[in-house]
Amino acid sequence: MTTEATGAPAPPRILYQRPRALVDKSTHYCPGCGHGIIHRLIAELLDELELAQQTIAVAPVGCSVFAYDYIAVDWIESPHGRAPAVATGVRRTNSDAFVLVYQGDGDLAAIGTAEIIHAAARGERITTVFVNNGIYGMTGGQMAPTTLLGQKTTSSPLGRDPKLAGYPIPISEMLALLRGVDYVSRGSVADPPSVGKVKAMLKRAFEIQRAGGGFTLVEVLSNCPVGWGMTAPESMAHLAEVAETYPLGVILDRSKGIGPGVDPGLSTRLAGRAEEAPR
Amino acid sequence: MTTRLADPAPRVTAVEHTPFTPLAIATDRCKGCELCVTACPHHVLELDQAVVNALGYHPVRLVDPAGCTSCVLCARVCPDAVFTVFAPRKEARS
Ligand SMILES: Cc1ncc(C[n+]2csc(CCOP(=O)(O)OP(=O)(O)O)c2C)c(N)n1
Ligand code: SF4
Ligand code: SF4
Ligand code: SF4
Ligand SMILES: [Mg+2]
Repeated sequence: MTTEATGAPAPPRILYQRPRALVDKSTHYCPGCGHGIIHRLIAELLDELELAQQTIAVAPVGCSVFAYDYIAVDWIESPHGRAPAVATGVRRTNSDAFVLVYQGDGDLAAIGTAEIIHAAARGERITTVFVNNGIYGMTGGQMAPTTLLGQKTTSSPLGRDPKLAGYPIPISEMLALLRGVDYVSRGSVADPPSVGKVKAMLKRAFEIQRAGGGFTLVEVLSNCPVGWGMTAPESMAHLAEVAETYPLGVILDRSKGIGPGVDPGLSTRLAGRAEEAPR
Repeated sequence: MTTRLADPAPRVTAVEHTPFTPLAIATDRCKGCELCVTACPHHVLELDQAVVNALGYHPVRLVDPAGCTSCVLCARVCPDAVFTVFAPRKEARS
């Protein structure tokens, strides 16, 4: 109906609405939890890149264990920490699929350390979204390998002491050293501009996988207002402090020559790898 | 490959905009976390203390529709995808 025909004003243009790939239901997440923001960004990209139909995602154990209820793609639930191993099987039996892995920091950097390192070293063509909230959110806020020095958790009530519990693991920087890895970056959901950067990082990782690249990972510094004993806005402000331990930005983008020890010549020589290797 | 069809989300298309409002807020989904309240550069969002939704929270409300510039920042931070944002009326007419 035109404005001329009815005399009514044209309906306003929609600048933003809930993405289609985000299932229309309320999540079980606590108010203000970053998992919801990260789910929404993934769903927006699945819509924009028209990837939902070909996506097979692997869910972790942790608060995001029910991710399969919220993002409208095919999902497999994996044992705690084993999502990269499950995704390896998915990848090798579904060469056309877009393979997405979603993991928390307890899942990826504690019980699943071996699986993520070896999937990365093998250059599995999967994209891992690594949600680092520095704590075991689901089980009541215990210390994780990612917990900041001095941070109080239910299992480090006096604050994390390196003499007792060691140092935070910068797992993304470690993974970026592996030849099978093509992209690693770290963003944060602290505020609207940071959220926009995370979306751009996820988009880059998704596109590298679609172009036949190797392992890609985006770490997202997220909050756990309940586990941190903060209001949601306080927890978002606190992410600035978290980023002092875990610096933000692109850590490795191999085809752009960004990253530790990247040899652009080697990349070019191996560019046809994805076509040559029968996956 | 078998694939579950994407569940269609509610699409707000033909809202009667009389008077014009720049936001549609799915108040039944709001958890009152106030991330949008903090993110809004024009301070036109607040929790509606007079209402408790089915989830048990005070949902957010747009206090001053005229003060909202449709900048979308609230929607960018909302973990519960509560907002639909419409272009300002001037832009919609042109
Ligand atoms: C084999 C096994 N060990 C331990 C647990 C208990 N457990 C469930 S979730 C979790 C930690 C999850 O933390 P994280 O991955 O950081 O997710 P978050 O909840 O913080 O998002 C643990 C230890 C389990 N479910 N299975
Ligand atoms: S416990 Fe923490 S990580 Fe889990 S849903 Fe609540 S806020 Fe989010
Ligand atoms: S669109 Fe912008 S101005 Fe309007 S309520 Fe949201 S954040 Fe505030
Ligand atoms: S960010 Fe979303 S859930 Fe939180 S108060 Fe605003 S509308 Fe409600
Ligand atoms: Mg965690």
